[in-house]
Amino acid sequence: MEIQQFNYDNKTVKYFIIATMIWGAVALVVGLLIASQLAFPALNLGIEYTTFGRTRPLHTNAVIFAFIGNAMFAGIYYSLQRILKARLFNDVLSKIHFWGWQFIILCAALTLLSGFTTGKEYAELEWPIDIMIAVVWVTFGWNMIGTILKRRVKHIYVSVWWYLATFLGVAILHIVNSIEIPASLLKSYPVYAGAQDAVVQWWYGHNAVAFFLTTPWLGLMYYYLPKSANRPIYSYQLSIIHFWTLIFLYMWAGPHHLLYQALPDWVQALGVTFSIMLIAPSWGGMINGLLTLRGAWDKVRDNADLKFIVVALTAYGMSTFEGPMMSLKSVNAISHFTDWTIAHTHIAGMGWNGGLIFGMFYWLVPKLFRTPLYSKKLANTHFWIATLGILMFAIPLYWAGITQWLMLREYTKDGLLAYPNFLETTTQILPMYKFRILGGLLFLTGFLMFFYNIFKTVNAGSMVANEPAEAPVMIDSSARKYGESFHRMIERKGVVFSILVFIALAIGGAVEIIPMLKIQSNIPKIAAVTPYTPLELAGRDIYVANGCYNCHSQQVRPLRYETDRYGEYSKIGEFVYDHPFQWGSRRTGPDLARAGYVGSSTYKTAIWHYNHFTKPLEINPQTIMPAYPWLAKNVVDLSQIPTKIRVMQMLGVPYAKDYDQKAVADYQAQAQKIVDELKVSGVVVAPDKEIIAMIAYLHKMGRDISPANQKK
Amino acid sequence: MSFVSGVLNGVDGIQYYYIAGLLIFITLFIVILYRTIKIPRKDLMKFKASILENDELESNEI
Repeated sequence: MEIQQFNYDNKTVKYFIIATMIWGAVALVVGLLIASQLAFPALNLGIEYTTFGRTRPLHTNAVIFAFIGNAMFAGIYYSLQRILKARLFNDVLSKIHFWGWQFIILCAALTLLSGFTTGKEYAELEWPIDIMIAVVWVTFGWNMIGTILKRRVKHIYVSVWWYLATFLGVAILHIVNSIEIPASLLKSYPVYAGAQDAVVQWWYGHNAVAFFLTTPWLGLMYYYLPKSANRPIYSYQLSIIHFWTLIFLYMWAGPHHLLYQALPDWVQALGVTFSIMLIAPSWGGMINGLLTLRGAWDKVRDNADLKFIVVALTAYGMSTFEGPMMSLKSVNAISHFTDWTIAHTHIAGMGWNGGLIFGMFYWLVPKLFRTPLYSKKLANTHFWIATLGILMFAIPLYWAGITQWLMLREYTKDGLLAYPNFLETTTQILPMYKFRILGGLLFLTGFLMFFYNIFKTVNAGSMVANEPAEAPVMIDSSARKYGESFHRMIERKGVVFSILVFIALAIGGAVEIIPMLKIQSNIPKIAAVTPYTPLELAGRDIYVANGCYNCHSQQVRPLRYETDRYGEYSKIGEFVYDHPFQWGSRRTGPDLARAGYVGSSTYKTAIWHYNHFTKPLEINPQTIMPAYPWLAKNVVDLSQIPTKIRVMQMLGVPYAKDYDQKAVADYQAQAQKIVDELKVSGVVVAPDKEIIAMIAYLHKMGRDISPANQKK
Repeated sequence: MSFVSGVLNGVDGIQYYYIAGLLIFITLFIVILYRTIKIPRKDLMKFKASILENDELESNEI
């Protein structure tokens, strides 16, 4: 039988490892910054580029796509070659993938801080970058599938199924959620609006967690844990069952981000049901991993890499139980919009993803550079510091979340809200925010130890860029053998396998999204709700650009303590012209859905808004909202207004025919009214300043359904 | 997305498709579960150990 000589590509793996280290440091430093900005708002520095609303998306994107993304590619490319006994398909594709991904990250950093954002979480990047992501992702898939096709092993080991599902899942999610119409080079509007946009966005958002933060990492766990422990995975059967179950169920769980919100009940019910069902396959992965170490726990004692993997699996189990529990409506009523959600995401991000990255690299780098790890003691110290850091991060936030909810729902014996001022709840949880900074600092300190240890290991060793290997040539035996199960057969057939994975992935999104798009009865219209005026539309774009949705929601839930606080609960028909939706997922500040409803607790006059934007501490000395002085200085580009109106018309917003011709005149007329109102209070500001548009937008929210508007 | 809505306007009962999806899933789950349990043990051991093997020059025909 012929033995073929070939080389493994280690250089690409090394590049992705280096990128992980650099971007990891950036992501964690930005994380520490934003945690500090919440506790000490002066750290926003009064500059638009460093304000929390822009730095927070930078942190999330850096962690998910730069830190975790690069680590994922390093791990996949190393393991893929060795599982399949084949070099990566094409060196040019590998280079395009690596450099393309780093360029995307750079573009993301620059555009997010500059305020070019879609306003949709984890999909903030604007359309040119979305196209680049699609191109680079296809390159990655091409490289991976090409390697699968030229493999020297017939059977495709379980890790590669997870990598395939990752590629297909992210491709579907990114394409569907990123369908947007450009209005300019760095501004676009999604084709979806309101509740439809919400369903698509959180189908994407939750499945970004699934197919970027879970499936590839389960695949990596199925390779690196057996290699580290030198033991086979506990149950191959379990890996088959939980793979198909997980990739099918995950796609349905998205609506659990939208419970008690303006979404049809049947969609919410689907999200809850499938989220609970998801416990089973998720725990299948955790059990398979932990039981792999049966009889080998002494190895965990001595090896930092195994310690990290064990903590990662434990954190995975915790998060995948907590998540479904938070998907129950009664629990979600407490947790949503609070720091409980942040604690949950960080147990998963720091524990599961972080733990696996550290565990994987502590094994992989010495292997790749053919030298022992520089310091086992340092690695073990890192482990304890990181674990402590995760606890010190999450526990204060659980405390903060519950405290805030308890205050928000508290009533006096007269039946009035005990804490009618939202700011009272924020002030109460500030000590927890300060404590959380310590947790983040510990985690960053551990990361710096990891950075140093890996750096010294790399320097001490030497890597063979093209590692020689040999393997028997693959014998073509694709026909199904007697007695062979169907799954065993498709494990040998990568293309068939991929098609079945695609079908499994597509069903969940299709059954939730298509009816939302099609069935008009899902979105009852409200006759009084009118499209945004040109001035309000410009204000909305400024709201999105400054990331206001990171701290403010626009969604009053039908819970008594919310309607008593904010006013009428939000109806689905209010959001039919919202491209994108801005319901928000966190209330660091109060909900704004009734900010334009005269008489509501959140309605404020133009002069109040002007002062609150420019000097928030003079309005509320205890506020943590940063100042936005640039809104009074920056000028709106009026030449873009007609284009925006035309794009909205294309998206189905019922502006009058040729309205783009008179949009600027309407803009200026409405702006002048606000200018005149401010002048009465002694403030002189030009009508084309951003702050005028923002005030107009805030005064639009909830106004259409208010009695004042009905009288007109 | 009005053109999508328009295309699907004539699809009656589309809101019940999720029930069909759920039934398909449950059926497939039972089938996959049964067939997986029936996989011969020796084959499972072979695949579990495949990534731990040294580079042994033996046939890789399955």
